[in-house]
Amino acid sequence: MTELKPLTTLNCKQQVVRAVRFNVDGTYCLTCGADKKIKLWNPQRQLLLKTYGGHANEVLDAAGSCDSSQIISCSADKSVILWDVTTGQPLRRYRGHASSVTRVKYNEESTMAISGSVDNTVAFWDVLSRRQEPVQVLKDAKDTITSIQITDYEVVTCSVDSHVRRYDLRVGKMVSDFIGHIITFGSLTHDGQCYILSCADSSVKLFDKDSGELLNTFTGHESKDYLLENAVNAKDSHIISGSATGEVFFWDLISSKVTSKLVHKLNKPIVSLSHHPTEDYLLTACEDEVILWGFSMGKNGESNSNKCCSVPQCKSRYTNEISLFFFPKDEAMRKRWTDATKIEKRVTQDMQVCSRHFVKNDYILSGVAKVRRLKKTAVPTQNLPWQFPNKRNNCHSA
Amino acid sequence: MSDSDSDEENAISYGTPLDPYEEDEIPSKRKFQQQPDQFAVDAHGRRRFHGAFTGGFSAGFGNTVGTAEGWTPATFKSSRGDKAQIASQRAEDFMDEEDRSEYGIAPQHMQTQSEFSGRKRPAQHRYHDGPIPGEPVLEQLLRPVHETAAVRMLRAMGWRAGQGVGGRQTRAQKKASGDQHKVYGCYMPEELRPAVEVNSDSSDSEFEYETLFAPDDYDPYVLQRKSDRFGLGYSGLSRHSVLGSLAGEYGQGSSKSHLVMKDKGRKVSIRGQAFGVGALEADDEDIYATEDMSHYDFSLGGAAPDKPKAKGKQEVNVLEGFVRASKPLPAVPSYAPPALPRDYTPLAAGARRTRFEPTAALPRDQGLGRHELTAEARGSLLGEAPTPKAIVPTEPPEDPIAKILGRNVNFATDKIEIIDMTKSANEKNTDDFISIKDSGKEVTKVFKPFVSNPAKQARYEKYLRDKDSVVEREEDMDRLTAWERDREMAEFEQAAKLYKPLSGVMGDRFTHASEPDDALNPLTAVSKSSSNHGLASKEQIDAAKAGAYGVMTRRETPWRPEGLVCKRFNVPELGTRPESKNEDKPKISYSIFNYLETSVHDKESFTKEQSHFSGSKSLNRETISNDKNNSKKSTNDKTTINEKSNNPQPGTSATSDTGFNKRLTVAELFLKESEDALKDKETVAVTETINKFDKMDLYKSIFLSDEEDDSALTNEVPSKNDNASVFDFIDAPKNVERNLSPPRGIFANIDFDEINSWKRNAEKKAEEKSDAEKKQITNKPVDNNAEMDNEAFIYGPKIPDNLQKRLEELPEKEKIEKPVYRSKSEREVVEVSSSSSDSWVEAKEVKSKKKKKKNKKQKKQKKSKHKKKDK
Repeated sequence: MTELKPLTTLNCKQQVVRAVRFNVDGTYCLTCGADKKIKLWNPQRQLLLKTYGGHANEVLDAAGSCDSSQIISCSADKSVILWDVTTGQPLRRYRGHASSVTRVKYNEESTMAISGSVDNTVAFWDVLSRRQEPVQVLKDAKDTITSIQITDYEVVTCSVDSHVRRYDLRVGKMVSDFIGHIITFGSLTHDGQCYILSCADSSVKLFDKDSGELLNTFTGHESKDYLLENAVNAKDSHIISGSATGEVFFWDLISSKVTSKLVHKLNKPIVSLSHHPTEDYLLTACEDEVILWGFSMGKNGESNSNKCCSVPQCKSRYTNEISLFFFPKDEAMRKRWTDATKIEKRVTQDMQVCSRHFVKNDYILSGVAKVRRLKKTAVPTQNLPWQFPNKRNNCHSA
Repeated sequence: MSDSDSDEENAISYGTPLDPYEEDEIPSKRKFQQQPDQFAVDAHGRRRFHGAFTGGFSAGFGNTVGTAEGWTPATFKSSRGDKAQIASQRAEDFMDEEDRSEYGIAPQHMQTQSEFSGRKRPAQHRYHDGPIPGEPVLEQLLRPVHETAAVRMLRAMGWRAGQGVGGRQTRAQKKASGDQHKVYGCYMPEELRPAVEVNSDSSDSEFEYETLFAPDDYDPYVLQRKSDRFGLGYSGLSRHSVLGSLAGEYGQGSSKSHLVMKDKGRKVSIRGQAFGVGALEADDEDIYATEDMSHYDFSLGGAAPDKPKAKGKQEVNVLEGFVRASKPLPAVPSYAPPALPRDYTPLAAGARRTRFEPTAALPRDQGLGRHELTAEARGSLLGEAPTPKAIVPTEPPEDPIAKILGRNVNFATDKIEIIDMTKSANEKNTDDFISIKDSGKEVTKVFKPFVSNPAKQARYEKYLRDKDSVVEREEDMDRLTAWERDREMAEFEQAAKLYKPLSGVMGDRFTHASEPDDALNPLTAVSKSSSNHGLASKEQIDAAKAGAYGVMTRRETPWRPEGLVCKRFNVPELGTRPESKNEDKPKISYSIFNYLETSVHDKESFTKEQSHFSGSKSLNRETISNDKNNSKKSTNDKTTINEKSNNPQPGTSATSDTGFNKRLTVAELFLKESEDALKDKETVAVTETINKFDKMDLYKSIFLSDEEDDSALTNEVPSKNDNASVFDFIDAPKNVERNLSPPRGIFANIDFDEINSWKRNAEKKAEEKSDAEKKQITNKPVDNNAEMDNEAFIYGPKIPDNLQKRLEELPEKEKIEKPVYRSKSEREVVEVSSSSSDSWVEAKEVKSKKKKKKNKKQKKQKKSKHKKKDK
């Protein structure tokens, strides 16, 4: 696995980001801040889309619904709030917990929210109805719930009392595994067969879900007193965990060797991270900064820049090979450009023409980076819309 | 740009083009226009005034409603979103802006501020309706002295407040002027007036010549506003009794009756009373005169003049014009100074040698507040057991708590008991405080509500001691009356109810804090809880320490999800099925999993290996060489399977697997890794993990018993052609517990080329060896001990009876076995996709089969299943 590189950095300005979460398809992310706000971002474009305020204390966790129309969040103010994504208004506020709510998750169809709290309980909230009381409360844990994972028929909770509890709805059984260390976070592999448990003894342990046996232990990071989170990549090949040292550790799932370390911010704990559900993107939160890690763009040659050529029938976007040029300021030149490119719209400031419409002689490669710079006299001649007779160009030149 | 305008481009045009002229349109004549300025309009050009017959003043829209659309009734608008924006409505909100203009109904004019206006006095400000409405009281009481210049000038000229203005007058003059004032209407003629003066002069006293008086103050004639509906000058009945003074409670001095006897026995003049009195006044003089001895004269002659009496005494030691008081002045009441506290030492306030010396003065209300008590004292009040170190040698008289408590509070510790001469011997030797534990009866010792009256206290204690038994009479009780006794009993009851410490029940709810209460400092670090094991047992902790996770550290408890939770998770609700069905059912459920699993354990070697397997059910299998498998299997099974219609079309099942291909399960990752590891012979550790995940051999055994009798096979296959066999079992109870979940990784990595070699020799063993790994392999929960109990909670197939016996024995052996690795290419894997419904064979129909055949049947079904897949 090649190293991930920081693609974008989100400066959340939320004092401390308590949790960062991808949404269901990984296009957006939520950051939960100590400033009582939740922020919705497009991490690729570093775009802050919306801020959700209404909690009375630090927001500790949030999750987006499967249709991305709602957000459920929990806070140290003991409440769980259901938000409407577009309006930013809280739809419901659940106040059933006796203490701060540490984790919240949606079920598969986002019809229930399951929250875990410092009051040792896990509560099921019916999101569809207007019911304010929890549908069910699990009181098995003897200490704070540190994480919740949901599958289509299971609820897995990890607790400070060193137990992992799996509630099987189909069988009607609770299977608790004693781990022996405080579990700061637990996640499931994508195939649903293994627990990945971050333990307070600076280790991440891989357990078999069915038998409860220890499969692997991943060490090297430092957990200190932090509730470090872990993740598994989309292919279930690597285990990822933050560290109190400010690094992100990647272990091979089988060999339990550290394959790579990403440095976010040294000596600042990375308490929250979230892996893209399908692709190789990782979000890490450290203090009020969130970094999106991923493979750099040039690798697959695909560009997701939104800058594109404005010439009709030209669909090229900005990449390494293609540069974009603004229209000239000079009126006469601009007229020649518009005539040449057959743009019927009014030319705005933002419109650009890509380098495919110019011949080699039209531009100079300048600087070390070989940036294409256009000559003053250059007029687009190549790859233009074809339906006009040549006479037109002659006419102008005459 | 288009083609057409490219031609136009060549032409040159000058000037401004006219508007396009269309042939069919003829420019019309100008329409008649009314003169615009015939109506009065407002600033917006709206017609404001109409003729009298058409509505006069115009309001709203066309004199009707607010808008062109008409009147819209107020609709409900939720104010939930904008609570803060709600403001009170004002009249101005409903006015047009013309109304507020200079000539509107509510003109808003500009005004100079008070400080710039010429007025000296501030305009009387209105008093807001605060919590105390009206003018502030303090402002009423304290008015700033404001003297006008005229008053000051008058003062300088010798005027005093309360006097009239003008030169000094003699008494006679003053009287005359006073009379003059009273005259309304015509003045008296000049000739008559001196006579009047003379008359008055003669009657008056001796100091009229030398003394000058200031004229009377001008008494402004104030018109009282008439607020009643009585006649002019009439004032209604007062509360005075008609003939006497005010009623007794009002005191006599201040108020006199309006009914005054002017001259004794002569006339009663009545003022301001009811109508009747006034009406009768002229004729019937004595109508209300009562018979009184004062009406009669007791001596001959007229009334005795009372002047000489005063004159006689005046001589002695009294200033002229003064009279000796008949009564001596009442003595000024003198109050005794407050009694000093007993322990008061006279000391100048704050007299300390240094300022760092603590003040010796004790707070006055010591012992009353909570914070003045020490922790021990409070504890004693609550009936707490003392902390061991708190035991102090008892020195009864000096004990501060005793002092405090003895004086101020009626509670007492044992020490005071000595003072209070309480007799009970057992009380003296007990501890300082009574623990919660034995609070039952001894509670009462602590609380001494009647400490001031030792005898009563003793009685109270006695009462408490034998509350239940009949209270026998004592000798000191005899001194009390029956009423007193009853009353005391009631008192005791009350006290017993009241003075009870935290009882044992309540006390159990509290525990000592293990951590210091650092609520004030949230930043103090909490000690790391390393020993937090929840409810883990000793064995679990040991196992976890040793790293022996698994059976030892696992604990399963039944748990029942709520119905709604199941509904939201799209999981069939547990417990809805009737309980009777459970009993009817055979112990074995004929799920496909069951067959596969039992067959897995047919082989001895196989079971051993599989004990290590804690495998994954791969949802996301790669479809490898399906066609190849199919062809192979079909050759194997052709001989045994008689109907092709039973085939679940494996080809489609394979291809229908979508979406998950790219994702490998963890188990597969381990497998893959294991292959590499074998080749490289890397580490033992890795191979151990591989052991667990080696699934291949599991699936060999699946096909061990493929060639069982075909009749069983046909029974089990849900085929339409094979009606007869189906009908045999059609009335069998349906398996309600059938596992509806998609098949997980069981079918992954099935090794088909092993099948043939295994199936020959394996049948016999298969029956015996159906074994315990079921739990690990298929995620079917097995609780062998409490299987009967848990029956209701088990979801999915049941465990066969013979399996359960073996469940416990196996895990030890399993680890010894060496795994067999085979490259992936060697393996031929069949994939049963979760989406292919046909692969889910309904096993219900077979259920009613005889139980002795159970195991055999399983094998057969398993075999048949494969055959179906193959074809």
